[in-house]
Amino acid sequence: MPEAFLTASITVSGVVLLLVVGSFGYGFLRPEATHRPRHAVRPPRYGPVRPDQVAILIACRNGAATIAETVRAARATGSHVYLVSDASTDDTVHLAASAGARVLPLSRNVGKPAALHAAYEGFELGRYYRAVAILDDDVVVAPDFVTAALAKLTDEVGIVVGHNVTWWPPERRWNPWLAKRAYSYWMYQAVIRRIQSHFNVMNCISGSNSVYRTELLDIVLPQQPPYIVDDTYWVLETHRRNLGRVVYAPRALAHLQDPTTLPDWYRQNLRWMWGTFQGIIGHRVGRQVSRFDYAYGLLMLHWVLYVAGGPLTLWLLATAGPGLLVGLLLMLAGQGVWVGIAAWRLRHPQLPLFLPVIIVADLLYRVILVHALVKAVRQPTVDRCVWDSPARIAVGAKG
Amino acid sequence: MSANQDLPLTGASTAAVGLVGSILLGLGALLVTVANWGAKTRRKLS
Repeated sequence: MPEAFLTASITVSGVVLLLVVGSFGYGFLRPEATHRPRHAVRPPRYGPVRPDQVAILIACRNGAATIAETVRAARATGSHVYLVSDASTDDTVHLAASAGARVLPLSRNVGKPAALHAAYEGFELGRYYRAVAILDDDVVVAPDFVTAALAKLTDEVGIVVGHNVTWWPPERRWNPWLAKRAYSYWMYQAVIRRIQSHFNVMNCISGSNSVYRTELLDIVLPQQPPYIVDDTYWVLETHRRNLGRVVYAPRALAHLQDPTTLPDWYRQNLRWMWGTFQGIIGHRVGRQVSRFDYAYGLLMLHWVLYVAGGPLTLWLLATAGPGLLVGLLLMLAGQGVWVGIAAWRLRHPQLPLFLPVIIVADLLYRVILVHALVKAVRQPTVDRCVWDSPARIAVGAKG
Repeated sequence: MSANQDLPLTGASTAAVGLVGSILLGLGALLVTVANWGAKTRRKLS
């Protein structure tokens, strides 16, 4: 053991020394290369946006169960609401129009991004507005959603991402998948999304509740996204084309409908991660020198460690230390601290009772990651983004 | 909605990534400083 430690120390020190000497030599031989401007690529400068210069655009296909409440909540922000019905065969068009939206009914099912583009062009949103909030048909935003998002839409910002809250009504308080998602959203936004927003390295946005500059939409919307998740494509294009910063607005609140069954939960996560891996392959993430690529590289490393870490931890617990049972209880306690904080912050005191489900789902998520990677390698692009929403719950007013 | 928002942060892997990220950032900063030092030396000599 001491020999191995000694060998490792000498090797690491040697490599670092070589790198240091190499860097000195590089600076000595190419002094002009060390004097590049630190921020050669700056984000574009956009103008300020007033609340009356924001439109809300909703894409919907057969969303009769939720669309009226979605439109009503969107109207309560004070913005004009536009809706495109992607060849809905239910009462979507009538309900949305009655709730106060201007509706564009499409006769042919074209998929979400193409439907959004058709509405953007058809209503001339790029001409009359400076920013557009794109919402899903089951999202209920808070009345101050637009003003809270605009507070973050500074000159360099192209996209503002809203704050997700799982809609977890009392009648579904014992649904484990809603509990899992509520916890995951809370943790993801409390940690990763805030850090990514600060450093402008956000790799995924909430396509269901984000605000975009029209200058940005003019560029990304006409393109047919080659990935299964349209907003994954948009955010990668925003970074690669330097269309502006992507920031998070924690006060721009939106309630989302999430899967309520295991198959729906699995399918949705598989689709999201499949799109994520398609984006990594298609946009050659990690193969450019940029802060975004560096941060994404670290995130991918996290995924690798996360997937490998599950079985490895179980094996270690079983073969060393205090034993499997005690080890598992320790893990449970560690996760329990986080879940406890989430229960307090989300005001769902029942959340800690779902701890075993959260841990099992956490193990299952590793399978999804591998499944999605295989899927992306086999199918790195798609012809068009298709609608694939979990079953919706009919809603009344959400708090 | 998109991507990896359902991915939980588990202690060990997150800590490991934070450690690796910090080490890489620190090493990068060190190398850039040393490269600037090399450039400065060259300018002094010429």
